[in-house]
Amino acid sequence: MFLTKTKYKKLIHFFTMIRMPLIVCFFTCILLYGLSHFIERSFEKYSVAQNIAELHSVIESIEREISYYDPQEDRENLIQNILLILASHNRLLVCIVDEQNNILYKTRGPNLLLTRNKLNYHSIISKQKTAIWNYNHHSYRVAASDFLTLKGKKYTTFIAIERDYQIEFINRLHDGLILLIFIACLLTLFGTLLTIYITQKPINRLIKIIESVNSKSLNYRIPINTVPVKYISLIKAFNNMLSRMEFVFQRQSNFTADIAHEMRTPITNLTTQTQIALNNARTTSEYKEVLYSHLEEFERLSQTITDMLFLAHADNKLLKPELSDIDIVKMFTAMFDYFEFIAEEKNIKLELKGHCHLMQGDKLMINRAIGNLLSNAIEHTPIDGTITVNVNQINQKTIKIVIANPGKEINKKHLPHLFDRFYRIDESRHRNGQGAGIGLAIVKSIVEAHNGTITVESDKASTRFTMIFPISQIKISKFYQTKK
Amino acid sequence: MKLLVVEDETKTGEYLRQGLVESGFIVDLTNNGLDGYHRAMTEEYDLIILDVMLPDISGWKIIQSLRDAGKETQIIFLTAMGSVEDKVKGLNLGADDYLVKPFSFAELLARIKSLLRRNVPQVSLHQLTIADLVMDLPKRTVTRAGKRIELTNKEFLLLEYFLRYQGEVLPRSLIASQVWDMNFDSDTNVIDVAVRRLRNKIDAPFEPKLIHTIRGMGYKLDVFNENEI
Repeated sequence: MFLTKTKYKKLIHFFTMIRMPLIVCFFTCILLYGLSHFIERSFEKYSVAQNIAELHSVIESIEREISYYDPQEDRENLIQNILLILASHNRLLVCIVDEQNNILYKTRGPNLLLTRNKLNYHSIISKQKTAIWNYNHHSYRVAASDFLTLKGKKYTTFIAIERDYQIEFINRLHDGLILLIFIACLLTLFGTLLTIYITQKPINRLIKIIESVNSKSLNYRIPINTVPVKYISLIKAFNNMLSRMEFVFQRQSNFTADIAHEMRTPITNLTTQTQIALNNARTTSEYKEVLYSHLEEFERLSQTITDMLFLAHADNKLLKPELSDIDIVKMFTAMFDYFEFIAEEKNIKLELKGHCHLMQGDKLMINRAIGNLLSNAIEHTPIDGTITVNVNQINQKTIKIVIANPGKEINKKHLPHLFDRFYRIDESRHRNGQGAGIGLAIVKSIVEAHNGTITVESDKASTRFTMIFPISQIKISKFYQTKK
Repeated sequence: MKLLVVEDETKTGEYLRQGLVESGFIVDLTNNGLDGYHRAMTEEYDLIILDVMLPDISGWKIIQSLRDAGKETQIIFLTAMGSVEDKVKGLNLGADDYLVKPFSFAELLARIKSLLRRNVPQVSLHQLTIADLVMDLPKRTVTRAGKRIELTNKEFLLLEYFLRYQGEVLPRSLIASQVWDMNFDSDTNVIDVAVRRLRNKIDAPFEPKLIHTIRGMGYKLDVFNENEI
């Protein structure tokens, strides 16, 4: 089974390889055959036309001779003249008869009178046509004509020209052309195969190079000067793809390392704390203290894991918003209410401007995104600052939400990474509370799950997060329903 | 109050049982779905805690069969990091509440109590009290030791919630969800700040302290100081 399968595959491979040459070969054949057919027909036509012209010119000459002929006087003279006429023509048969079928003159060889039974003379004579006569393994073209002499006597001239030579020539021409076609086809086939092989060679080399690229050598780039010019754009595209993959791969492995770190720190704390606690006898309240401390650490760990799973879900496109109509303004009002106490502690004012239509989305998710952004904004706003939320209807289909907070300007180089997991602007900044450095990543995945975009800008005046959402998620909900 | 716990993870099941028994419930524990279904059908329980990922039959099937058979026992189902579909499915089948693993025991306890309270007819109270603190609901006033305490609207709601559930540990997430209708896990300390402000008004100038922090779990409104370290 296995063998036949590989054999089958090889066969398929062979056919795909040879398909192109075969197609080229096929069309070359058709073209050449057409051409040869045209050549043959032209030759034939030409020789027939020549024969006919010859026959008619001979008939004309003979008839002119006969028109002066007097049967009583100069038969010898007539025959002499006819011989002179025939001398300049090869392979001609002539037969001249009078009304009573008495032969006036006849060349040696087949008797042309025999054709009378086979051919329709009246049509040949009346329409100045010719006919083919096969006799005794030879083929002839026959013409005939009636003629009245000056004395009123009627003669009929039969004349034939042998076609054997002509037929043979055409047959030889045909054979030659067929042979030529065959050779041409073979040449085309090999030529195409060779061309394909030659053009395939650098591709094969490329395939080998590409095959050698694995996750460890993602930093490899195919040198552009080693490939034929026509493949440069392909190689560039491939190199770009490698760059993107390397970036994602790098980020993914950073992410994994970060997760490990994020988990290891609390677990180390827990282990150390437990070991120290067990080292000496403690009072109940001391043990209790250790357990409480553990509990807090576990809560944080559990939160980190839940957030991580959320992001993993988002990465695998498994985040499916449960759609309902959301009043963004109302949501912000409630959210301001929620953050009121914290804001008041730093004497931060929260302002909401603008209005918009209802938008479709998952209430919990959008709430979470907005909550994360607001808490982030409050955290980075200096005392007495004002956080402004601008809600805007850009057009019938999209709304824009801008959350702006005053504060230290974020360096441009950090901006694109702000939504990366565990990205920290300040390398030495220690983690604060649960899910450190993951909040904005979650916001981004929520926004993207709603087909929206989020961007951030920062200058001396403020740092601004801009979210753009489509109002309707019909496409998503359709997909969601069919999946269900 | 008698509860049934259907949980195939032995350790989780045991801890759940211990915790619930210590909280004053009578608890039956089973680690497979068929046994769980059988018990739920033949015995009377006030509430069932059901893991939906069981090795023999799925929790969904159990919920459905119980409801089809006319059993109206309240059910809280436990699901792993849930997709929305799971939650919707469970609630549609007739479950009363759900928790996503990993969950905190305090949260589970709070939800169980809240569900069981649903069965008790709500008496519309005009007054909520603890120690010398009195909340007058129609007048929306709070006094402690006869002194009037001015509260903002949110502080009032928060205190009302504490008063209604006095003696129970209230996790921060539950407070956020019940008082502010915020159902997301945020890494902010909004609840801590809110409770601190409330404390400053109702506890700071008075004795005994009423609002207690239960570390790693949440807050509790109680007259006794026993849980504080």
